[in-house]
Amino acid sequence: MAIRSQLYKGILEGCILAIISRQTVYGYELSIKLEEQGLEVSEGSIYPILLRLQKEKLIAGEMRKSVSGPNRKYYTLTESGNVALKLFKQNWEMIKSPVDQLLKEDGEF
Amino acid sequence: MHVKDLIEENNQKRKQLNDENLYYYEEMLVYIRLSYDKSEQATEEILTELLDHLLIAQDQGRPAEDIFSDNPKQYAYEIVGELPKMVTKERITFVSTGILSFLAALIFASSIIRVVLFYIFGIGEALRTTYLPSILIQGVLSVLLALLFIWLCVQYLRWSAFKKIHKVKEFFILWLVSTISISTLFAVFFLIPDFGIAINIPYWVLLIASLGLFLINWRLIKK
Repeated sequence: MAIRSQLYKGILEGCILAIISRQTVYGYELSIKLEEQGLEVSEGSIYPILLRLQKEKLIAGEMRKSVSGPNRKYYTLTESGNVALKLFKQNWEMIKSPVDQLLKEDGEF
Repeated sequence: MHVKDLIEENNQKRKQLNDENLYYYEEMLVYIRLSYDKSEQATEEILTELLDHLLIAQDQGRPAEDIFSDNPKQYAYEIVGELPKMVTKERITFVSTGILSFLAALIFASSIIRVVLFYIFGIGEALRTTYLPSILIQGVLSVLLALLFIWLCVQYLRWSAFKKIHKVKEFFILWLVSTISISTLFAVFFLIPDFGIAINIPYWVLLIASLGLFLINWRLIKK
């Protein structure tokens, strides 16, 4: 079952920003890239997130012709998206090892 | 890409969906499009993306539930919640074209009959005696009534999306709402008394005026 908690959604947003920062992608492509990373996510759940990121102007979408023909919406990172991604990385670094440490002590690992 | 092109492309692409996916997708499409205060461009773009994704999944033999969860209404609701609102300019055009077409249709319907009766069959009168304050109140009330009617229809369609409602029951509900609306509209015109300044307008002038309104409306939509 796909994890759908708020925490996971926040992390997923950060991961989506990271993928878009590396290359321009369209929706389906993005879902494949997440899956390749082993992130278990129900594919459709990326679309509400993409809409929210656009509303917050962290990414920009543009409809254009794809190599294979049909019109597709391609997403790129904006200036503020870049800032948000940096912030996410910092926050993640801060939270990552304490949480790992804590869970290890609990004997979860 | 223009909204109209996106809609046209969507209509064409939808034909490739199998029956189950088509049912699932169209219910979602209706629900999302009924969010009338959202940007039309953003609405059609997300619908295109969802359809493209579904088509790829279908080629791989996966059902719609796999992509958009087994609760399509909840999913569509989530999408609508994230869609950007219509900008003010878009909103003004949207509301004013709606009101204009309603008024144009109302004036056209009430004058064409009189024109035909009088000029072809010699029945009735050629002039309409219009009491300005009365017609103003009637006009405002009927526009409000029409807006209420549309709002009720949208609420009903949103409520009924993803529900399999018995056709007879559905017909009865729609019949009841339409009948009540039309009778209230008639009541507005018959029960409000004529008072204040009166002017005589020939019915053919009203007919031309309604055509003028249609023309203005058409220009507004084209813009």
